[in-house]
Amino acid sequence: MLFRRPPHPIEAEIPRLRRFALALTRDRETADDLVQDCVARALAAWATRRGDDAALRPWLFTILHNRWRTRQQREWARPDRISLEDAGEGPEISGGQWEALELRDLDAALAKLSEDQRAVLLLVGVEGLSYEEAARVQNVPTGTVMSRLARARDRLRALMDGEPPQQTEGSGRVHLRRVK
Amino acid sequence: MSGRAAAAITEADLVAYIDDRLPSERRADVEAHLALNAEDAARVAAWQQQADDLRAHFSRESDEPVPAEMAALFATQRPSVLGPVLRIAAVLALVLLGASAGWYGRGAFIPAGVVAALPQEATRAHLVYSREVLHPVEVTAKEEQHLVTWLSKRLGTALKVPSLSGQGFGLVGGRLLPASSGNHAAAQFMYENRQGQRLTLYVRSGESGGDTSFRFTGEGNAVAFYWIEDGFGYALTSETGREALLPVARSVYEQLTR
Repeated sequence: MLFRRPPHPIEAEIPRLRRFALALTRDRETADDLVQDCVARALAAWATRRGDDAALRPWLFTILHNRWRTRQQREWARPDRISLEDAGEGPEISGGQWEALELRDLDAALAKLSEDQRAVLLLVGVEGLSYEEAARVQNVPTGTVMSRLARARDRLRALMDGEPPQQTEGSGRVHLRRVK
Repeated sequence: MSGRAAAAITEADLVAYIDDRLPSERRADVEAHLALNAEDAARVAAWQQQADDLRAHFSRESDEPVPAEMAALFATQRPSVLGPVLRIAAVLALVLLGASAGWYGRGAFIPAGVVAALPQEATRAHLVYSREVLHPVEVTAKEEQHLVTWLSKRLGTALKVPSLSGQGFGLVGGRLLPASSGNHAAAQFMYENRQGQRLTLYVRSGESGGDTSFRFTGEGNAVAFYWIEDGFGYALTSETGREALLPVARSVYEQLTR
């Protein structure tokens, strides 16, 4: 090619997409696979996309979030995968008795939050999305984003202070662990 | 409070205060509230510290280089108003080229007697489709019965799709492919495990030279196990290396030769 190709606007968003994917999946390989999928779809839809550059980031985050939800549903829908998970190290039940003493580390504390809580902290607190944009990404009302933020911040505070966490959003849920 | 009756401070106000999304007037109300309410003040102070910590924490994560695989997605993309037009033109050119090549080149693409070796043909197909994000298969596992009936008909034999759930692989689906042997049709079935690793089972007809035993070929990570039975060639291909593929291949072999 004669001319050096100008960087695609999506390309500049990749580091942000990767850390959002990592916040959702908590696994580097799964996260990068998800980003790969998201970028491929975004590129395929690029020609028909409407909206200015300011809306690019929320648009990409929404695609990534939707892909992640689809994958999770697909995993649940597959009997062979369910049985694999059941055969794994067993359900992790949050909100129980935590090893509260050793939770000083931020990363460890983040891992104890629900996926939605981690995501909302990142979207609003780090990526600077408006409450409305974060609500569109997570497909919930704006009020839920705000209450989710409050729950996430309280829970993170409790974890960082080494207090046993209170029952909060998502904490009664049983999380199935990924088997490596 | 400046003579104005302030609405009670809610949790949403505290959240928006941290995120700096409050109008200045309301912000002043929140600050007045915090001055009188030690519990909320401690809560907000902790949130504020946390928000700073989170920004520092996540900014470290974004410094990593972009993986080559992702960068490669942009290799053929250019954001340009001409993009769609050029793409359409390119497709038209390809269609015309294909049509004329199909006419002038009829009979030339599959010269009789030159049959690519089974594992090579299978590996080539594997490398093309296992990387595909949007359309890895033509017919998904949701329509497994239809997939099997269709491909069986095209290959002229009753195909069996082995179950590899015991090895952690689920069927993604399959597709019809051109082949250099037999009736020039091949079937490819794709499987995927929880880590997103894919393997493909490739079946083609018209293998001459008699049955073979279970064989291995490949170098590095791209490997294949293959065998020929009753004129049909079977190859299981992956990029996981020999050791990882062997137990899966053994299971496929056992299920298909049983």
